[in-house]
Amino acid sequence: MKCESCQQAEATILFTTVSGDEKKEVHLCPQCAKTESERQQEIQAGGEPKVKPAQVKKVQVVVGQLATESKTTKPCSSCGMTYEEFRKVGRLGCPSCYAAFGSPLRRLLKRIHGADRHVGRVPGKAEDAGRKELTQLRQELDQAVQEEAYEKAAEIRDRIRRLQEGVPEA
Amino acid sequence: MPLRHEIMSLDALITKPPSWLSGENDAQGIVVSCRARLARNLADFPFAAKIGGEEQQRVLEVVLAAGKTSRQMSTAAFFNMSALDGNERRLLVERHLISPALSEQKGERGVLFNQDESLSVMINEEDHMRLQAIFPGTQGLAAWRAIAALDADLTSAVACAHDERLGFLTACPTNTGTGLRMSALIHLPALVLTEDVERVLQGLSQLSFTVRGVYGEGTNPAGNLFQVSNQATLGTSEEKIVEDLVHITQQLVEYEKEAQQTLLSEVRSQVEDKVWRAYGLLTNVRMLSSQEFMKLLSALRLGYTLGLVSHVPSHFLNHLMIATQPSHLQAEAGASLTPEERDLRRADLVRSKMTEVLN
Repeated sequence: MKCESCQQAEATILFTTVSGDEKKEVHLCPQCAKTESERQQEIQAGGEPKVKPAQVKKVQVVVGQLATESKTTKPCSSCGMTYEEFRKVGRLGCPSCYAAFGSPLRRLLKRIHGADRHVGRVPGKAEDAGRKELTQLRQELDQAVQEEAYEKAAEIRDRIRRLQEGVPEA
Repeated sequence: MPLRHEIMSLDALITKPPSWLSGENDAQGIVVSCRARLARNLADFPFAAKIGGEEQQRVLEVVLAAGKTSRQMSTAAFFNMSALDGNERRLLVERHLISPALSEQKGERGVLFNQDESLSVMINEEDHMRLQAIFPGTQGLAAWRAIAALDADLTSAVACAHDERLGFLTACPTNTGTGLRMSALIHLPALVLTEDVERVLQGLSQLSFTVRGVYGEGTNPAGNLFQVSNQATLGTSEEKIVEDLVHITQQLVEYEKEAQQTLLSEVRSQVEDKVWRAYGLLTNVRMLSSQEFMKLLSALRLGYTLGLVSHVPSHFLNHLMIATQPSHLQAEAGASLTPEERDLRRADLVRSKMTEVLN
């Protein structure tokens, strides 16, 4: 995709501005994004207040791998869906798409849900997955302590704490 | 296995109301019902966007076979969408047994539901399986328990699309994880009248719950009926989602009751007039559009909640709400009706039911 500002360079950044209730997104090349970012900062600082500073709630450059993600993410080998196609229809093609679209999809999930790790049930069982994971982690902790691998043990202990508090892992 | 093994006809279906409209535990008519929905998929088949006709057929067979082995669905009715006409499909939509999407989509698809219509499974909608439990009133927890038991039976009978890290894999990433959407259907007439509803509902979005009007848009939906539901399905356990819904529902009931007391103390005569005016109209009306009906029904429901018209109970109002919908009126008439004919029939039905409840 070409930059929406200069129409020449490749757009690699999704530039989002939020002004009042209005959200605007443009695809820009790094150079134009830099210029636009400086312009927005000026606006915020009161340089050329085209928009009232108070209305500018947030000016944010999403270092958008989004544009490049569509190209670099390989199509799902199971159903043939491309990441671009998925972004267009908003629905995945098959269960394997989750693995095929790996990290861009996980980022999307994180944006939607504020988390990217499941806490809850597993198929066919009434017991929840969290409890199952806890049991397993406790076993791993015992093992680590026995092996005197204290760094690893501390890491597992933190994961247990997060699970118990219901805090999704980063 | 045979794909058409319904044990009830649609004609039989409309003679009795679904159990979730019984008005049980409904906080004096404020909370109509609570619903739990789970999105589930088979591991070895593409989702709707990439599935072929034969694969859809196979999914249908696999899910029906799993249904047979489950405790809840072994005697369920099954309706194949391709065997139903438009009005019959819309009738199922009006009873909340299927979604408009399932009704309108193409391809091999259908619905399984139990005798009292509290449990249903849509097959080949957006996901291979959409499980639903609807219970009357504030019984969100009961709805969750029922659907969790059905889920355990179904997902142990099939290979389910699930990932250790991401949970249940769904066609749309907004359902990934638990695949659970909990919702409550709530009547908030006083909050609408006092214009507090927007503020209250905005507060909900901060709790990651959304609210929408059930009939019509915005903060002034027809019938003042709102649907509250959770947004996030990933990173939050099912128990927490259910707990939050129950808690939020209770809070909304409190807010609505407070607003009702405010109305009574400040404009009692107007409120009473509104209720009795609706009562008078509904017992005498000769033509009734669905929009006007929903408005009057809301006023009467408010009257019931306030104890002004306690002889018109909420289950009666709930049943009327379903029976007066277009496809129900047409099924009852056994013919397709023009909007004007529907308005006539709707008025007739409401009048005769109102007379029944008085005697």
